[in-house]
Amino acid sequence: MGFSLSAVVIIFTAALMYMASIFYPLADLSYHRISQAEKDSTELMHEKLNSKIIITNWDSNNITVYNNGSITLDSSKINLIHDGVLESSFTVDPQGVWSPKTSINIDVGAATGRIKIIASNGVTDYDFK
Amino acid sequence: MGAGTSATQLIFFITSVIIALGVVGAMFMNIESITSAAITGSKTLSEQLKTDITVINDPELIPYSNGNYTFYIKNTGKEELDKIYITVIINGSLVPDANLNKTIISGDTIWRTGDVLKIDAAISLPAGSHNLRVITENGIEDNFAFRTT
Repeated sequence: MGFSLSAVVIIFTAALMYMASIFYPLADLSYHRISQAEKDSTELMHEKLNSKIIITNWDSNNITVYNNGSITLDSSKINLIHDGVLESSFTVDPQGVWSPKTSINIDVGAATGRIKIIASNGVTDYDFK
Repeated sequence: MGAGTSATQLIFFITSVIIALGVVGAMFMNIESITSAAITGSKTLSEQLKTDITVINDPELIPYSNGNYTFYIKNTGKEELDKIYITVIINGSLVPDANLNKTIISGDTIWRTGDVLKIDAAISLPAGSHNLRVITENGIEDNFAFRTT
């Protein structure tokens, strides 16, 4: 009886240790994966809440857009909608880093209409002329 | 008596080991399915947390030509998405895939971060206010109210 009990205890102990060694690394992986995703999600929200762009001037074909937020944007990743249609043939100066409290110039190729500028993280501004 | 006791103990021993192995086997199967579910669940949750889409149309001017309304949706998250699994609901009614033409503006097949997806929807809408819902493969959605003339 004593020998049987010992055998059962050994089987249970070995099995529990083996199961823990399988479960722990995968549970840890899941935890880290979710932690990283939560960090990314918070970062996305933080960037969106702290981003603001304003169209300050529309002169001839050229519009000036001011980064009034506290997040550095990428001017080469903006989108432009003119009279409802997504435009692909517009030029941006300067391209790349668009720091807070600075402006970029966009040659929209049109002097009138309804314009919507969309930054890389989805923040927008409209103008109508 | 001695042989009888030994036989009894041997039977007890074998029975105990068999029962213990059965219990351990059942526990192992449960642990395995819990681990597998945790992995799948964490992957899905992680994808959902990193996904964000934004309808970037001008709500006053939705392009309309040849019976198609055109919608532009930007991937504003950190997850690559598949355009095939995008679901479109307009005014609460699902627009069948056969009536949709989805094109990624950059020409890619995968809808990457920052890319714009163009959806041409063959539907007829009366003049007035409408509502568009775009839903990704992992259930993240964006709502967009627009007006047609």
